[in-house]
Amino acid sequence: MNEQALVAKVWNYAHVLRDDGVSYGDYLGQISFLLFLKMDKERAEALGEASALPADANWDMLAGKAGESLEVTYRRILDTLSKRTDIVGTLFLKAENKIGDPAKLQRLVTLIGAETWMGLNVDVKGTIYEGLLERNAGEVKSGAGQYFTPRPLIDVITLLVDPEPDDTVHDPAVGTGGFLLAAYDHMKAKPRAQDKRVGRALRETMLSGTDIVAEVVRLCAMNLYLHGIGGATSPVQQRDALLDRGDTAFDVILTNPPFGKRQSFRIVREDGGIDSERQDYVRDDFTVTTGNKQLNFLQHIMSILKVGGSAAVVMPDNVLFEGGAGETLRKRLLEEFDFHTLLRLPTGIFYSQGVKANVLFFERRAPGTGIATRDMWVYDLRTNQRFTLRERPLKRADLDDFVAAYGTKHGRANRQESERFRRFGYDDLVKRDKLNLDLFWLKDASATDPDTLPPPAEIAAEIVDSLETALEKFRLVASKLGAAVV
Amino acid sequence: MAKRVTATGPVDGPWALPDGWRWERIDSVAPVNPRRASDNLADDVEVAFVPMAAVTAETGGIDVSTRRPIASVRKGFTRFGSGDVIFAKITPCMENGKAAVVPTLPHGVGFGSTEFHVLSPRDVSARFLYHWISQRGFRETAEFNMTGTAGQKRVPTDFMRDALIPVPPPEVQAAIVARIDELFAEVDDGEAALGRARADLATWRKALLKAAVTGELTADWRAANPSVETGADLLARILADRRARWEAEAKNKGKQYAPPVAANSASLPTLPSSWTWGTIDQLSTRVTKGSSPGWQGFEYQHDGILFVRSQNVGWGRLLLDERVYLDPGFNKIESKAIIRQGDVLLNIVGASIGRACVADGRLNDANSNQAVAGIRPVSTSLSDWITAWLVSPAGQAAVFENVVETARANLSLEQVRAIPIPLPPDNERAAVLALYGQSIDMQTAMVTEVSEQSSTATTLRQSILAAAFRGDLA
Repeated sequence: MNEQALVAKVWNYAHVLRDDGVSYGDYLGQISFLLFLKMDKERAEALGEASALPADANWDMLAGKAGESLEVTYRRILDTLSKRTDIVGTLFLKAENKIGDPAKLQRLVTLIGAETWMGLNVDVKGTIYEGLLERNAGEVKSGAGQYFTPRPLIDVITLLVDPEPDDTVHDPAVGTGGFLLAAYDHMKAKPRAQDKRVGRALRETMLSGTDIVAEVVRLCAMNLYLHGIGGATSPVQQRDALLDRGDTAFDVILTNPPFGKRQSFRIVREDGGIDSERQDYVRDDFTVTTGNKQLNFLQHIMSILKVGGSAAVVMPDNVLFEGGAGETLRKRLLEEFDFHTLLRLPTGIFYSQGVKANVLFFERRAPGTGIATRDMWVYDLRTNQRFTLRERPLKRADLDDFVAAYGTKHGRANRQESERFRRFGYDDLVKRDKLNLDLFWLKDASATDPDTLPPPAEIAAEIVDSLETALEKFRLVASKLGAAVV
Repeated sequence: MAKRVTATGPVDGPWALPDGWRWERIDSVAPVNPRRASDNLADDVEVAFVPMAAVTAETGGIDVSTRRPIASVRKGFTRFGSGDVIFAKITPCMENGKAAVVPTLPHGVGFGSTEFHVLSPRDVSARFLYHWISQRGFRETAEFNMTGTAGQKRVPTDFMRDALIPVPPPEVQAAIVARIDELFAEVDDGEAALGRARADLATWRKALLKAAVTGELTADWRAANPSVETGADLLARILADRRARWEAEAKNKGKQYAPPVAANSASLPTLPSSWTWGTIDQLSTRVTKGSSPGWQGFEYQHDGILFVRSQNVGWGRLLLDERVYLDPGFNKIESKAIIRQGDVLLNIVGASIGRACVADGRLNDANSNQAVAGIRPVSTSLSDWITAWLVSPAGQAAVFENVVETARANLSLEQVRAIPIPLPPDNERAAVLALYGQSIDMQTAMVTEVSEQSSTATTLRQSILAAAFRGDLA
């Protein structure tokens, strides 16, 4: 079957199962398992490689079965493989059967079984998989604050940070692996990666990531696997990155940490009511103790970046202007890191309406060399720019001007100011009240030009967001005063 | 909570203080307007100069960047040093909370408005003192004790000297100041969020209106309610109705009907497929304006017929606070401009040009001047729609399209007739206005909410300070 038709078939079956109550996410999970089983068999047969799986938990056990027998076998295989500690274990992390109807399961097994996946272009598999991932992201509520980073943005960030094949690249909030994949493609294309050993290290050890959600880690591991990335152990692990700094520092960090406000968990009081306890991560290597998830990710990244290493981090606006802990952290960022570029992202590019975010580009300087940031360059891609996910999605062309302005990673001295690109010296920044880096200079035309007014739903979402922030802050203060909650 | 003791020591204060604290007169711990030794600086040395405007009310912000040669400010201005606290003494600056801690100054000395009291902290930290005197309660007492003639009332120096301040041990002062700053920062962030909400609420209103008149608001409605009749069908009916009314009028007997000017859809934005473009002319039987009463020899009176001027026409609503009336004889002369309920009024002259609203029952038999055009819709069921369109951002753009931007010249009646207006199917029009109305109600409720939360923020700051000085903020 030609590749287009295959993609269509996989998609259509997703819809069929969706009507049955199987979400895109669950569908993805099941496809991942079956694909891996099938590809393992193909590898063993066609390439004579040793199978990664035991004889009682491989594709052959499934093929030819039907009805309840098929379902029981499938579940047993998933259970067995989920207990492994190698890459297979990660690929089958917490694996469960989500397809209730055995007839549908059988059809899916047949669908997967009918193709030779090893022979398929890696891109096709990637397309199918990532297409489903995107759909899935569109469905998942922002409970964990995960926002699928638009592909053009990932590609541009990776291009500009420009990791080399010898760099270790890490994403502490890896999601489904978009940044790692982009980094891999970018590094693989460099001449140095032609060297067999460098190429192998690139595939197996240079890339790494963590995510707190098991299902997501599984999807990511599979995504990477389908692109040929990974060794004996999985490059991505399930873990709460904020718990501790781990043992490793990295050359390059590319990441879009989860958004969402304070990290807190609920506990049930004795009288049955619910309290929200703030979860503060207390670490020696942290500058501030705060429940603010974004600030915590930022200081975690600052902690695991090697001296001389580069980071590009997607962060919401409040990291740039929040007082107190935010101000303290920004001060340290400017002093110990060269925070050379700030990209103000436009609205309408993430799945949640009105999210206002930025990309922070910084490098770690050696200690004892004075204030690290001399100039911060700000590119405003937000004012008078409005995108939507369907009608007007962000394209690579929309970022061309930024790419040109950014220049090369070692050529920052040649940068030029322009309408949307301005330089701010450290001395000017440090004078700003609360070290507020929420910098804009362009006039918002929406006040006068009706065409640039955002859709009402987007504005309404921002209003609710602002009101919630305000209410939360006031409640926090009131509770500290022991006053009645407002 | 620290142990309470009745205030002992030098002074009795208004409430019991924790162990280790004591009440003092302000002058004992921070001399007020002290005499100073000579500054011993050369005449041309540039020093910081702080006029009243350089201090921000309520926040303690102070701008010390202005410099003057010391010789020009020694006499006639108040002197202070780095780390002093300055406090506005004159009304209304004092009540507004103009006070600040003076930061480190070049040469350690600065000068400023004579309307500042200067407090020179000795046994109390500057920031602690600043927070104490910035409290609303302190300012209220100070205001009560102001002396002087009206308009020149000031807080006397003696009041500041004798006023009391609770003084904890130094390390406790530092801790309290830190806690206050931390909590104030949270309140600041909350207020900043409210500010954003406030701005967004205004934008939301505009965006809602735009969405309403361009069909965006009812996109889902259209999907669920396929139209029986399109906007074009509706327009055809309206045109037929318009013609019929024209022909029915006795004065038009034997005359040739001039069809109304139509919209040039090709040059206009794309509408949903079931909508169509029309013009004010097509949707109305009459577009007129009144005239100045003076020309006709009339004067404003307190009763008679209501006379509408441009200040009575707001953005989508009547503003009838300022009313004038004319003798009913005016209506005999300007009979063509007599207003009826359901007419759409549009300002065509002056600063408020472009504002529009619907005339309600109070305006029956009213008249207007030449600054207000009256549009009589073919059917009053169209009045709200026409008004919503005219005041929307897109509508305003259409209204002023043919007018030179900078000059904002007056609109002629011909231009008003030619204003294009989008027309949805009949039933969708009602749906749009209903949806829009609901959203506006929500918006209004949120505006109130934001305003209430703003008050909460202000109260919170005072609560924080009160708790701090009771010793409850550990």
